[in-house]
Amino acid sequence: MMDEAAIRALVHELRSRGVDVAEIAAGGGGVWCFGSRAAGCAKPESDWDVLVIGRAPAGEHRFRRGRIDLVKVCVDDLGTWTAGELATHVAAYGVRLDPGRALALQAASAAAAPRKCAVTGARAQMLDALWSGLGSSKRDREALRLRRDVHRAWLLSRDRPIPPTALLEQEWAAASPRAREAILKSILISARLLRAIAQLDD
Amino acid sequence: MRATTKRIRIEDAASALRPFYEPGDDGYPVTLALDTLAEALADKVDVDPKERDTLAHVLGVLKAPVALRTGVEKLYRYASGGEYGLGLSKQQARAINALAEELVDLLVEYIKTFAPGQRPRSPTRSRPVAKRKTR
Repeated sequence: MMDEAAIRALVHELRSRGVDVAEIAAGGGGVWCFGSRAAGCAKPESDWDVLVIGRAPAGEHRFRRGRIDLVKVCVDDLGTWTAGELATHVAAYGVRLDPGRALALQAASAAAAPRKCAVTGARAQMLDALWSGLGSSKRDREALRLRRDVHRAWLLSRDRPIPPTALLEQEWAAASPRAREAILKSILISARLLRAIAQLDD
Repeated sequence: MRATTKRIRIEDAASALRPFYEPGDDGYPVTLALDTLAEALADKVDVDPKERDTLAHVLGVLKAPVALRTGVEKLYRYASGGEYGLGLSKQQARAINALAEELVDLLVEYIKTFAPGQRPRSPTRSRPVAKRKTR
């Protein structure tokens, strides 16, 4: 978990990049750090993932400020957003950066599952369609990404929040072959993609 | 990969870059399609598979027209907005559609017409090679 010094440093960094945490909180919003940094399992090269829930309409949901990966959500969209996968992650693993407590973040993992399953299934189809145009390194990367997405969808459908990727990987490594098979069967994936995913574990 | 097969893959990838995106859609098809187009040029440019926004990088190395390069960079940026299950915002979907309309045919044309098997000319080879000394 992040200590107070790390929180202060991130707040300072955000301010220098035009994101005033105190001002957002005063306006009834909130700012969270999430991902591996918040969960204390970051690598030195990891980005800082920050969620800003504010009054301003979110023209772009996501943008970068140096090593900070910002996700912006408008308070008005909070109702639908809390039924999303990121909300489940931030509610469970996020670290609040602002002193305000007016805005509480609640999320229901099970509510996020149908969309995550649909998006992951569509991604698998797309990947299968373009598979033969990809080189071996790219195939490995995309197969890994798909496996993680399927795992996340599976967790949500069991009403569990999505953990940071490092913890997701630990869970996968500890899973039995039967459990892995059950996870992968939760989304319709072509045989060749399943083979590619299986080869990642070899 | 044979040239005909590669051409089909280019068409397949380009088909995901048409102006049919709506708010809430996933941006992954855009990113994967752009990366697949980059793979079609992989025998001309050494690509680090960990490189983000691969096609933008490849077009930079090939010194592609600036409009193509910046357009592709923007496509990657807008498509990444749909990650974390957020889906594309109205602005991002509109921007992707506008870029797809304006850019994709030019991009496909550029990639297809790039001479097969030819590596980009090294800057150090831009001057004529000195004549060999004759005995």
